[in-house]
Amino acid sequence: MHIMPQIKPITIYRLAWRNLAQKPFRTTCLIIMTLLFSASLFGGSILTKNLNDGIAGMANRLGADILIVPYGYEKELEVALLRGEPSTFYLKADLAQKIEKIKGITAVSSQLFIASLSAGCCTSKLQLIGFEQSTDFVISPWMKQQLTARLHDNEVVVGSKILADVGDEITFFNHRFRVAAKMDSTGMGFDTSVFMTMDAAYNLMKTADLLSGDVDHIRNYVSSIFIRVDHDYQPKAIVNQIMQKYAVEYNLDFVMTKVMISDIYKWLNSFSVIVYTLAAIFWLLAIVVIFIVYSSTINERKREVGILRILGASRSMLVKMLFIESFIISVIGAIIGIIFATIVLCAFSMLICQSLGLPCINASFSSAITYGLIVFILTLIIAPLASSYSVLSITRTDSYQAYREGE
Amino acid sequence: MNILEVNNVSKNYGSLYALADINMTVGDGKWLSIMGPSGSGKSTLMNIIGCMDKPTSGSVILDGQDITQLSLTDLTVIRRDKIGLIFQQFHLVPYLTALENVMLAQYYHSMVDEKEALNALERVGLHARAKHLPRQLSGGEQQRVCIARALINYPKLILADEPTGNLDEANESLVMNLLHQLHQEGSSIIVVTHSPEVAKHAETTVVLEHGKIAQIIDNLK
Amino acid sequence: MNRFLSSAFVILIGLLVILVPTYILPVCPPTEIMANSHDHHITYKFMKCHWTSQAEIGIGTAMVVIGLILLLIKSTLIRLGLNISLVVIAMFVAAVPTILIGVCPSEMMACHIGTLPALLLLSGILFIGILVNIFYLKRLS
Repeated sequence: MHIMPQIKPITIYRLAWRNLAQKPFRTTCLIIMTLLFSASLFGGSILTKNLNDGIAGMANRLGADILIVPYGYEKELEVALLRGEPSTFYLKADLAQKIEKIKGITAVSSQLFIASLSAGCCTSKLQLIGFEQSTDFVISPWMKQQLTARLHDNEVVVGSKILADVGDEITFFNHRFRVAAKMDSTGMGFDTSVFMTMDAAYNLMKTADLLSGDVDHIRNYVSSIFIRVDHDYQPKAIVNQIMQKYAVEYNLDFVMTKVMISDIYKWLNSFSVIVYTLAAIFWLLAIVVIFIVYSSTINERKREVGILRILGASRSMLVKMLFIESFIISVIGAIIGIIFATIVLCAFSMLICQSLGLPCINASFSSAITYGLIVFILTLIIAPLASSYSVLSITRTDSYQAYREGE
Repeated sequence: MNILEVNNVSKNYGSLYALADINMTVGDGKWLSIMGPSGSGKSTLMNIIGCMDKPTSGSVILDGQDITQLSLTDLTVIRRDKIGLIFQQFHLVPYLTALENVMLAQYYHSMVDEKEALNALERVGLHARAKHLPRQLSGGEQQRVCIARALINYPKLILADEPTGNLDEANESLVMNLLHQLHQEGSSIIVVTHSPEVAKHAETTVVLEHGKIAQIIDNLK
Repeated sequence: MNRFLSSAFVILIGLLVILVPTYILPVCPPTEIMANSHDHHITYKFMKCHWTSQAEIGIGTAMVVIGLILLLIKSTLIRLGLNISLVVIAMFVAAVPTILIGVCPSEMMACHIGTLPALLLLSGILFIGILVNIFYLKRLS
């Protein structure tokens, strides 16, 4: 017995789909055009959002307004803050007590930065930071929930990406420390830093022979001084005061966190301009290419549509069929593009953020859905819009002419 | 009862006459050939009868209805309900299988019935080729699919434009045999052709020359 | 997928499996170069990910060779068999940096955030592509 395979009933959707399937090369090219747009816009906007969230989170919780570093080291500090690239630099410590008295300064806290040697297999250099727990207002906001007792000299607080848990032992320069607490994820360099008391840090430096020269007076040095300024005072004015009084004596440089963050925002702004311009170009490009491809096949399609017309298809049925066809291209392009961008982002977001040197927080599921929907809708428009001229002119001629032209 | 009455039909493109004052009738169940050299106006006449064009003057009564007064949209409806068209160029939808091509005519007409469509293909001897695309079929097979498609909706009139124009002799006789079968079952058939051999199959042959009826031949005599 | 396309696909992925851990998104370089003071030999200290990259070079080479054989052999059944073997190889591409050898556990290391996801992605792409090809070949045979 001859068994016929099941044949799906004929519908407008099926006609449109069969037409696309019949020309796989053309269909694939058109889908790739729409996919370029959806992937670039979705990937680009999610990445921008991640960076934006990361920087905003940092700006919100970084309590310091002014950071003082030795002259020429402001880049090193920024890099250490943003991506935790370890570095070591020194500043005379007594400056902290002196500037405390300046009007408008509400808090001053010193930190000592030590770049560790790589501690064992599969770890890179870490940033060790000594901090004053009594005056600190920079580190604490990130770990308040996690640390109640005073830190002992043989204890450390580790950033969220350090591979050690509370209670673990961790060794730096042959000194063993107990992990007392772990910080929240900051998206910044703090994630890969290890915090210890100032005493522990000095001790480490002395015994590990990290400082050449004035080893005996090692306690007279810190790496940077973090300053918080009263809301009523301009950080800029404070910086000017410190400059006048101490710049020559101490050889200082300043990082204004507001300026630093607004510089990052400026960079992020131009980044997003590039992303959106690129997406806009892809959008237009897709429309132009699809328009051209459809226009160039008008005559061929007229013949095909003429057959359907002669068989009794009404114009509205044909218009619907042709629009569904271009709609399918858009839908497939949008879905594949968004999935592709999602996979690339999920796989490489950390790599991207690290190589950009900026803090990153992964976008929440809901905002990803929102972006996805917007991109989806914008992609949906592409093919129907680009093909509308052709669709109308293909179906405009009556069946007789279409038939005649086919002869 | 006549299936078709053509009364004083003229068609001109500007000052050029394609058809001048044509009168003819086709009785129900009759087979008529319209014969003439190219440029004689037979294609124009075919298009007017097939509801794909309108005459400049005169009237065409198809199955009791004057189709010259109808809009193009209404003509589409008449065409799919009453006429089965067979073309020289086959005019199959390239991306649909033979079966789907037949079902497509059902789809635009009323309802898709796969079994009936398969029966129609069986009638033209193409049951085994139902799943093939037009490009996988020979010319004769394609034309037989067209015939299956033309008769699927039980048309009042089968209108064939050079149905054997692109076929070899063997396929030509196959196709003509099919038309004979349909005729014996009572279908009215109009075949437009330039070939006297093909025209001879009909009961009556109308010979067109320069847009006018030059001769009416009764093939039964 | 036709013969040329499927073979080109396998060879391309194979080359990427070799190139990703070595050049494109390289694993971490050897950490310490300790000059032995006694005989002036230099000792490199390799991390886990180095061995992963060595293993992937081997796996990638196997894929390239199978890809070339796929190009030359017409028999559907042999091609089917080779494709089935590629399914296992695709799993190895993913298993080496995760279960069998692994990469550095730290989220700051190049091999962890670059090489590992790239290899997993390649494994996934290969897996899907090979499944499609097997499906296609099964219908042919």
